[in-house]
Parts: sequence; C-alpha cells; structure tokens
Amino acid sequence: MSGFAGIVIALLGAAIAVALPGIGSAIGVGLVGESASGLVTEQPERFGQTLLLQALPGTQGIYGLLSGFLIMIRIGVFSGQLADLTVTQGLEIFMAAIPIAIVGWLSAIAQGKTVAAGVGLIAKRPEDLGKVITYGAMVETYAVLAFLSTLLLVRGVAV
Amino acid sequence: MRGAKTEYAYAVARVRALETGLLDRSKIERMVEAKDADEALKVLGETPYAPAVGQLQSVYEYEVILRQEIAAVRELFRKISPHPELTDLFFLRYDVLNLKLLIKGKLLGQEVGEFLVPAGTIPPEKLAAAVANSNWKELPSELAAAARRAEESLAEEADPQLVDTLLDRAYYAHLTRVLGERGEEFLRTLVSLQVDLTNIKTFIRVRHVAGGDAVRVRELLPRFFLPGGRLTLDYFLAQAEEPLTAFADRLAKDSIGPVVGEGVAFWQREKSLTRYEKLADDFLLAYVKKSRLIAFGAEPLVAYLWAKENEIKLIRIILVGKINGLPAAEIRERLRDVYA
Repeated sequence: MSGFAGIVIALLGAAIAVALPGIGSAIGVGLVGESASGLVTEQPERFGQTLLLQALPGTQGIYGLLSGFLIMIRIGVFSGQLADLTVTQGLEIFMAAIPIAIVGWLSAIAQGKTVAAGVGLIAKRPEDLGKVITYGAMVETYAVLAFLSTLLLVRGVAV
Repeated sequence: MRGAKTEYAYAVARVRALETGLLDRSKIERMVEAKDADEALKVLGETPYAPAVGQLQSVYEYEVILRQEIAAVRELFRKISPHPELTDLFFLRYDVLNLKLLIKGKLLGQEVGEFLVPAGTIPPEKLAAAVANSNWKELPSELAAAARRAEESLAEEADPQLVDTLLDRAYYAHLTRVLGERGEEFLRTLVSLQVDLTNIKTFIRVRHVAGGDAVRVRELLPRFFLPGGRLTLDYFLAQAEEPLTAFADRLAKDSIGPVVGEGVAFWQREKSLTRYEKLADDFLLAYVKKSRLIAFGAEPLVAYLWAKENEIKLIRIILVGKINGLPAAEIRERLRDVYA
C-alpha cells in the first residue's frame, strides 16, 4: 500500500513539472503572438523579428518537459517497472518538481508580458531587437535557476 | 504586473506601428516652407495621406480629408480595441459638435448637414433625425438631459452660446464620470487637465468681458465653467478680485504653472490667447506622450487619436495660413509640437 501511495505522489510531481510551465509558456507565447500580429498587420516584413521574440517565453515549457522526463526516468516509467517508493520518497520527488512547476509557470507569463511590450518598442525602432531580447533574457534567468534546482533535487532523491 | 490589461496587446502593438506613419517635424517644416498652398498639399501627398490627397480636386477641399482621417481612426479602434466603448468616449466630442450645430440649426430653421463631421459615435444622418424628432434615446444620459434643456432654453431665449455651454458641460461630466467609474486614472487626469486649462482660458476671457468688475465675473463664470477639473469653481471665484498675475503665481508650482504663467504674461502684453492656447495644447500632448510607458491599455490608443487630432490641427493651420498667404514665420508661431 505504501508503495502505491509513494509512486502516485511522484507521478503527480512529474505531471505538475510538465503541466504548469506548459500552461505558462502557452499564455506567454500567446500574448507575444497577439502583439506580434498587431505589428505585422501594419508591417508584414517584421515577421522574422517577431517570431524570434515569440519563442522566448516558450523555453519554460521545455524546461518543464525535461524535468518531467527526468522524474519519469528516476521512477522507472520508461523501464516498464515503476519503482517501489515509500510515501516519503514520493513526497521528495514531488517537492523536487515544485521549483520548475511554479517558477516556470509564472515566469513564462511575466516574460510574455515583457516581450509583448517590447514588440511595441521594435515597432518604432527595429534596431532595438537586441534590447528586447535582453529584457526577456533577464526574466529567463529565474526559470533557468528553478530548472537547475529541480534537476539537482531530483538527482538527490534516493530511490 | 497585476491588473495588466493584456487584452490590449494586439491593439497597442498595431497602434505603435501606425505611430511611425505620423508626420514628423521635418515634414511639417517642409509644408511650412512650401511657397503656396498647392505645394504644401504636394508635400502632404508624399506622406500616408497620399491616397486621400490624390482624390482632392483642389486644396480648398482639404477639410474633407481631415474629417475622414478621424473617422478612419474610429473605424480602426472599433475593430481592434477590446473595449471600443472606452475609446468612443473621445469620439463623442464630434457628436457634441454635430449636436450643437443641429440643435441651433433646427431652431434657426437652417440646413446644417454639410457642416456635420462624420467622426462621432452616431452617424450624422441618424443624429439629425434624432434632433428633428427631439428623440434623445441614443445619447448618454448627461448629454440627453443637456440636449433637452438646450432645446427648451433656446425656445425661450435665442442664445446660441447657451447650447454650446450646456452640451460641453454635459460632455465633460459624462467623460469624467465614466472614466472615474472604470478606474482609468491616466485618462481621467488627462481630461481634468484639459478642463482646467479650458476653465482658466474662460476665466481670463470672462474677466476681460467684465472689465474688472468682480461681481460680473462671479455672475458670468458659473455659466461657462466646465465640470471635471481639479480646480473648482470656488477656487476661481475666490480670485475674481485679485490681479491675473497673482492668480498665475498661485499656480506656479502646479504642473500647468508654466503654461499659465507664460500664457497670462502674453495675454497682458498682447491681449491675445493664441500663445496660451498653443502652450496648453503642447502641455496636453506632452502628458499624452507619457502613455509610451504603458504597455497594455486604452491609453496608447487614446494617445494615437490625440496625436492624429494634433497633426490634423497642424495641417489645418498650415493650409489655412498658406491659402491666406501668411508668411512662414507667422505660421510657425502658431504651430504646436508634433507627437512623433
């Protein structure tokens, strides 16, 4: 019974690691897409620039997916034999998923807003694309830090 | 970050892209330097106004394209704004303009159709029909009440000025109420600054008309005073006896201080308000420019409309000046800042 509860909690961890940053990225990418459409309606030649910007808030979803995969490998989803985890072990894995789940989710939305505002900036000054990417990259830092801590935590759990 | 109106993302980006098409200083300067009105119009034909300019038969029809331009901005906002009713508040001005003409025209038995501006929220023909039947249902409550009162009072005494004041006051009351209710602080402040600047102008004029008679000032000012400003009617009435310079000094620390100070000084030298009007317009345009710091919201849209109206004012000043053969220096003196 304890093995069953442990693995379910760990799977829940994998699920939120993938789902929450994915939702955040979808919102962020969507928002930049709306801004980009506004600009491209008036200046179609700006598609390339805006596509680059739109991709920025998408990374959180990728970090989330990688974190989820890592957890799945640790608990034996791919080997066909789910690990027999205690409730404590399951909770440890769940906790390990939390940094990327929460930070990935909210930072993707924040990054989306930053970059969408930047679309207004490059509407006037196309040469400022680099500045907008830099502003977006500042937000990215915290998603990377959260991803890193999830990686270390998942590796640290004794299964 | 909370409360960011991200539903405006598309509209704001589109408007920012359109802002690049606004006339800059050098284009305006070239129009001023043009040797006559036709050449000034030719310069305008090299800008985004090109298609409209191409349709003109003569320079004297310029007013047509300027009107169409505002109507086009409203069309655009109706399509792209998530809350077009909010931006419509700023087009309601043209309904008020039309309404004044129609009500006065009706009582004087004059046809005013050709002077109506098609940029308001109600099509001119529909508004004309409404006025003909005294049916005010389409109008916001404040304006409906004012229109009713204007018609009644005009029937009693033929004072066309009263129609203007009644409707203007209703318009600003409506604008401040709705913007306040919707928590649009930036726009609410914009309107209150505009009202203050207008009331100060009225104050200067009324004092001039009253010829130093404070009792007469106290009697006249409340009739023309607009609601919604930061400076109350009592504030003005309390200073009816003091000299204008003291009034200007008292406002020196306020954001509108420099406008009032310089405007009043010019008024006392030349007995003309053109300098004050130019400074007031530039001040409001500078305030509107601050909307560049707002990434999502109705503010950048209203700013674009404001910039467009300012641009149209510039074009009008230049073309009227050119048609009347004013020298370039004199035209330049009247010109406002540009938004771009």
